[in-house]
Amino acid sequence: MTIEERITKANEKVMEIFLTGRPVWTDVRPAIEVVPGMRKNLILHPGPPIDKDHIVFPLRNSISGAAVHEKLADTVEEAWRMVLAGEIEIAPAQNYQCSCAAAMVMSASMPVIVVEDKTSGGKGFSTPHPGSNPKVLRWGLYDAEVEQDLRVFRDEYCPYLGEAVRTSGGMDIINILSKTAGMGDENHNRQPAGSMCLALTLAPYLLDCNAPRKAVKDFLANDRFFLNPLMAASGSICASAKQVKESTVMVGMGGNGEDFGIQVSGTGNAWYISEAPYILGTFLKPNYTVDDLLRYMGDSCVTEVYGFGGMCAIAGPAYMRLTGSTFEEAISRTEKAHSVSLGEHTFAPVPWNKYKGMPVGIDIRKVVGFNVLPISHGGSGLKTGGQAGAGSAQLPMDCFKKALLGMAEELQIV
Amino acid sequence: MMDIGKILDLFKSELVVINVGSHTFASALEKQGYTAVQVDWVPPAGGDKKLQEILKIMGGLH
Amino acid sequence: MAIYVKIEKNRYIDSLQTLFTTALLNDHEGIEIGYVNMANTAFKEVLRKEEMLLPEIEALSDADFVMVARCTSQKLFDEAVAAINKDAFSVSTDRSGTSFRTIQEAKAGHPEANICTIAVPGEYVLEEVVKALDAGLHCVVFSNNVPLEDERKMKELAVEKGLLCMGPDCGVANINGAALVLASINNRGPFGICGASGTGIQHVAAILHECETGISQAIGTGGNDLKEPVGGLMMQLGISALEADPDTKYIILISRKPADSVLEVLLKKIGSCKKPVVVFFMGCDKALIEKHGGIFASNLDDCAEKALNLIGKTFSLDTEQEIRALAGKIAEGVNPKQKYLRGLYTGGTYMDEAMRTMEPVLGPVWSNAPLKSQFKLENSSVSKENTCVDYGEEEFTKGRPHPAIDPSVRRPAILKEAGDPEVAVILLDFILTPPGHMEPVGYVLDDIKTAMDMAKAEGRKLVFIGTILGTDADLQNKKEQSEKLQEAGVVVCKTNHTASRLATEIIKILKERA
Repeated sequence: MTIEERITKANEKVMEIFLTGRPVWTDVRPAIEVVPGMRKNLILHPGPPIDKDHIVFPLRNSISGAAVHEKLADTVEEAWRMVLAGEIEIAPAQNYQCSCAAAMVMSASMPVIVVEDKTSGGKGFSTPHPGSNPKVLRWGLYDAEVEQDLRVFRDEYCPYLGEAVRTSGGMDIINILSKTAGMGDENHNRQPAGSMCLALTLAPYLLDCNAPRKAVKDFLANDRFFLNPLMAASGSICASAKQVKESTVMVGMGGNGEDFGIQVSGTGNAWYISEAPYILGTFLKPNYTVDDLLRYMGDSCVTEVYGFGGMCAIAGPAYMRLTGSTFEEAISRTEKAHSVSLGEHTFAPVPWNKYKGMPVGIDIRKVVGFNVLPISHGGSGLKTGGQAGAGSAQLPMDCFKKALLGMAEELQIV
Repeated sequence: MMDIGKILDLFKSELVVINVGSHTFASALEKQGYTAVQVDWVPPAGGDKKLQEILKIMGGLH
Repeated sequence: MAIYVKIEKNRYIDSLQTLFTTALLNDHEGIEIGYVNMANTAFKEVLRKEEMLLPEIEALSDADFVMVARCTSQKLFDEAVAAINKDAFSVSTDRSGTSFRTIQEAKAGHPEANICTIAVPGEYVLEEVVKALDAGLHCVVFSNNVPLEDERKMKELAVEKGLLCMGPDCGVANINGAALVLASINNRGPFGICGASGTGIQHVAAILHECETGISQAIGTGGNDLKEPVGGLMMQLGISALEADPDTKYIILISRKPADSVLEVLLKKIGSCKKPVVVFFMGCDKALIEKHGGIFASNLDDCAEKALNLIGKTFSLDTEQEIRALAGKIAEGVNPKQKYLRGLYTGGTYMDEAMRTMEPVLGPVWSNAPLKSQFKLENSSVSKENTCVDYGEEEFTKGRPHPAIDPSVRRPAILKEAGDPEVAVILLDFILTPPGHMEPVGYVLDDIKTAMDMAKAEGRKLVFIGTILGTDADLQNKKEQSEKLQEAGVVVCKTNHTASRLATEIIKILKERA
């Protein structure tokens, strides 16, 4: 077999995982109980590995806050000293089948969504969305009030959420995506339809398990609710895809506010890193400027890895305005994604795009060869913590070039 | 003897042009009322010779 | 005057587009000189020479896009950049269908597609042509700088598949009535043309059009087809196709003199052809052509005339007496100090033809592409005595499109030559084609008028002679372009040969008078 034939074969395997995957949300459990390799003193963060000397403030704050939350330290200052000393370990969440949206981190006691791909058996994990309160750890904010919310979330809401999900027999992610096809979600930054559908399906079970009324009001009534199950779903698919050698399909990406990295199936957890782009589009406040912005931060773009968000921009054309763009651009954004992808999701056709499906499975060879960069949607963070706005970012070409070289080494071409 | 069947077919058919490269030639055909399908060609790997060599071996560009 | 730059990393803009935009940029207020291009090595060289290679540009890669200009202010530069982004780079919404990344993708989306035009840098041409041929598409390759061995390979594959591979370096092709690449729009008629010279094909087709007949097909083989390494593969295939095509009654072949081995093969083909074949192989022996049953033509005008004779028509050109009489009339009132001509050409074939007409009468003509190498201009922007300059030569088109698309490269020469008190005659050619400049004459008309007024004020009489290559069916309309020239006082000749004859006669008269 030629190298190209070997790659083709491997990519077919990965695409089968991507296209026939049936991720189902089966449980909510403390990370330490379910995430393979999770340890008490380990904190998982978004994006590629972090240079501790150059970590951006919000992420340092989240990591330190989570350490205090886990009672590993008494103050954030002490926590960070322990991180620098190596007493508290940090690692990219995506190396552990997890993903952290924005400046969120994952620590041992935090409840996580467990999604299992019923086809390939892969598992993925993500913390549930914390609700519509802007003052959250997810945006790098931490104080006594945030700590209190984290405890309520962990102790008074998530156990019921887990019970509801278990008694429901599991929430089928593909099912929700199919039902809400044609409702305008692109499912990275806009998912009111998916969130409603999910909440509607879960609500009876939550009521049956006597979940506190406040928990339901604060957390279930949240139009971003579906984002995190979908991120975990992507993780469950990519966990299996990472087992396939010699494939050139992208299986992970994220930013840490400074660097952006991607992962490729054929090299598993290796990161290919370059300076992260800015997410540009709309600011939440008119007096924010680009100078206030962090570079790309978060793992929520694993939804793009699985074919959503910027990949299927045309599925959610309303969001295009927030990225400073147009309906026509949504079509061309999706067409471009098609031209670098190896497959198409057929379970959620887009009615206003001739019922075409959504491109999925980015082939790094095509990205580099055609010089076409996929676009990720996303929320942008402030340097001082908190959300700055929402928009889109073109993924950095350097990551893909490095990944191609990495694959060439793996295949012993160079 | 050269086989010219396909050329004679072309002469009998409605012209539909695939244009690779600058839009200029595609728009010029459209101005004349013909269908032009645009291929937005770019140099593979942005012109990077090393990556081009790698891509030749790894394939996938179709 | 400072240098301003706008950089966009990893934005690819195709060269024809950047070139077109360079012209736009230079038309903006405050811009002394500006360039738009991908930051490739060749472009960096251009900027280095212009002393515009800023360190931040030097640091860029091939994949990055640059707009740079020497400009009076940042504000005017920013305005120019904004205007260009709006005018030239916005996504056009009226294009039919969406665009594609690859030929295979485009063919899959449009299985009815039957021909492929290719304009990519030479080193990538073979790869793209193979993709097109594999997809069952006939090809028209506009790109030049394609290695001859690549050309041979792609044409062998084309012949094997029974597909046309016109070019590389194919400037003109007319298929099924469509003007491809830089062809003119022509009437259809009984003449099938197969030629290696784009201008030659366009010239003959335009005369046929003017005489109310036309062409069935015009197959451009590209300038290298009849060279030894390529072996005339496409001209052979073209002749076979035209011979079998029921709409083609007569065949016209146009080229410079083919390589000996290729000529032999072609003569055999002409000899066995069942249809009449008019042959203009520049510099080829009349007896040899006629021996093999071809109808010999001695130049481009004659080629059209011989073709017309086949259907009982003739193209009336000015006779030698008429040209001499006109020259005498024009020479009246020319200042005794004025004694030279300057030919400013956009078409190389035309300049070549003109110099061949001039030299036997006037002696050597200086040029950037002279007939004899010792008369090569040291500096193409500094003319001496009788001079002809081809603005389609690489030195001018490097980093810019062909002057038929972007006439700005020739423009400054008009006033410059007009300012030389020894110049009597300025020759200009204009090429009409759908992708070309929509107002090629209008673009320089003010300069021509200014030049004439300036000369008049200084007691000189400046003679402008123009020719237009194209037809009334062209989007620019030959008749309208011609009228504009005439209204401005330019002498418009029917063909390039006539124009160069007239110019030659005028200079000869002035010389004799002195």
